[in-house]
Amino acid sequence: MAERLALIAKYGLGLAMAGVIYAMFLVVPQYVGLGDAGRIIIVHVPTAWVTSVAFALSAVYSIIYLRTRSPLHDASAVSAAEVGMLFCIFATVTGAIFAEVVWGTFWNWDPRETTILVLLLIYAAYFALRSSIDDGARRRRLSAVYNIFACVTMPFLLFVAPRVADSTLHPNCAFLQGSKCEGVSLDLNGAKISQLGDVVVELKAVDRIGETTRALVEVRMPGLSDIAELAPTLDSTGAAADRPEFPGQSFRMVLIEADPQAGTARVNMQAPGTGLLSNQRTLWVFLASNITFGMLALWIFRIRATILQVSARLHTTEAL
Amino acid sequence: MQILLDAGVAIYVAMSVALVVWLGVFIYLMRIDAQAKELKRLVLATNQESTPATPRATVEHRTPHAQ
Repeated sequence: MAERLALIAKYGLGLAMAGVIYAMFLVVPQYVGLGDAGRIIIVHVPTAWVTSVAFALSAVYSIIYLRTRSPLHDASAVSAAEVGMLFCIFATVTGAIFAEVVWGTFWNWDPRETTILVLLLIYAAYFALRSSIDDGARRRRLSAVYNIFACVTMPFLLFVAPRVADSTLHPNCAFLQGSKCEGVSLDLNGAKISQLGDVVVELKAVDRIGETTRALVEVRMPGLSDIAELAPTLDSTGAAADRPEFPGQSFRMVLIEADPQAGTARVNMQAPGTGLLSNQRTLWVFLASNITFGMLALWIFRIRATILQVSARLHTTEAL
Repeated sequence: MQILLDAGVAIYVAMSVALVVWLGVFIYLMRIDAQAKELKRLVLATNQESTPATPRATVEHRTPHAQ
């Protein structure tokens, strides 16, 4: 009975994933500024979530291993770490494709891109550690301890560090309303130069033209490939009005607040696609995708754990 | 080939490619899942067969000097 239910669940997962792929292309609407590139969040974000869950699961199995010293738990820890690594690579690649389409470059050392690369390297070191120790018991013990420390860094790298950074192109503030994305404060009488991502910005003037407040900001693109003056504005209600595009890019500069008397302004980058998940069709497809990718990860984990556990049993039998 | 890249057609092409890739991955996972289960069953069965018999001993109580 249990086997039959498992088989039904697997075919159900196959159909669900096919449904998510269909919905991603034909149900989710296009977004102004993003075009079809916006559809990639249906894959990109769930894979990033699965990554964090898989790494956490791996650490739990490592803790259980340290308590029980059973090679079977160690095999489960490795399997979960492998699944996490697989989905982490998938999230990085889909993110890079999105970046190329929307920001014009596959990689620009945005805080989010940098932290996910660090996370990939930390877990690559986990597998390197495992392969460098011949003695089975010692390998399992050391890698379990390392895995727990690696997992402790994961929430900081995935969730905290990109939000602590002054500015990120990653659409935390574009997709998810309420996310913190402060931008940078510039002062004509003080710190008038700062950085937005890897773009240097310098405040040249803040003035009022009728009801509109305008900031004149010089932007220097990475490697001084382009220098331009942008003039984002606020309307009479204090809401952002003109949002000029950065030279050669698809993202825009937005003026968050400005005070012509004090000579201060706060500006930020804004990726296209603000409020993407406020659309009901996108939201439901996104939730279905999260569940489906979660189930897929669980399935891959089970298969890999079974194989590694069989291997562990064989080694135990040989040792006897 | 150019027709596959037309604005109205490209999205169907991309979806078809994604579905074919998923079909391939799904079939691969089903096969490897079945093989892993079979392997586990065989190993467990072999382990049971090769388990050494439990040692047995017969204890005989003897009374000293009893004839």
